Amino acid sequence: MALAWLKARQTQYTAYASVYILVVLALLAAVNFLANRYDKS
Amino acid sequence: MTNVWVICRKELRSYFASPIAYAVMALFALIFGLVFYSATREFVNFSFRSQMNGGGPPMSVNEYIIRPMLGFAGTVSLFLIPLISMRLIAEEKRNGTIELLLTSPIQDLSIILGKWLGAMLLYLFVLGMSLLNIAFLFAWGKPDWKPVLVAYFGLLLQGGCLLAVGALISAMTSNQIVAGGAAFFVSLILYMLSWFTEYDSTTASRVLNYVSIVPHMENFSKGILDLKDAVFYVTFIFLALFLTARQMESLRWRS
Repeated sequence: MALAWLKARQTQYTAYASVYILVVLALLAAVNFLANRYDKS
Repeated sequence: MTNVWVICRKELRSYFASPIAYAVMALFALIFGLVFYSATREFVNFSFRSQMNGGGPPMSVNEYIIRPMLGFAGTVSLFLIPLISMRLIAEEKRNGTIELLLTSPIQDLSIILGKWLGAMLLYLFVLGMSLLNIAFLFAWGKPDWKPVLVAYFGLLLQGGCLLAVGALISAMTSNQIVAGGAAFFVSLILYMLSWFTEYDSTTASRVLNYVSIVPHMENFSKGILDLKDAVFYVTFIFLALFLTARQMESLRWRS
């Protein structure tokens, strides 16, 4: 009963959105890192 | 794609139906015109003085007039872009039309992209006001057009970043004044980050310096099209629009 909030729809969607944002952030950071590392100028 | 274009046109029409578009364009033209007058007057005075003192190497119009002017345009856009972006989604929320949009058979991404593109088109018109001044330089001088084109491309990318941030902030509130003020504040932080971190060598400072939008504009204003700067701007725009989409999506399950 105490952990009912874990199953709440809002908690699930917040967790899903947070993971999604973190994955995209990591991907974009990797793209920027590679663009700088292999910069020819 | 059709939906994006329809929303983009509707957004652009609504800008021109209100005084916002005309006010922003007039303000930009006025400020840019004053800077143009000042820069060309100094340039002519300096070159006359140089000739009277026996002459030196020929002065470059690109280096002495166009580059500082377009750099200044980037700074001015910092103040003007929140005026464009503040109403993007906040107005739909205030009018209660956001529910209609969100329940219509259009994807959130199409709505956001359409609105952002509409704002970008208006920003393009605003930047277009400066072309008249630049045209005078081409009529009476021989500036190199390629660095000018690259600098305008950089200004567009920088404006795209600030507009995407503005769209994200506009999606968070239904008050346009709050959206405009917060967008200006965040833009200012993104602008000033490099000032505080320029001479630090710690990893955190280097990351913060990288996130600032100013250092990436330097190469563009010199006429250098560097892939890493273009990648930064494009990924920044993508991230801000992605976060806006998540914010719009959350309106469904938070209510």
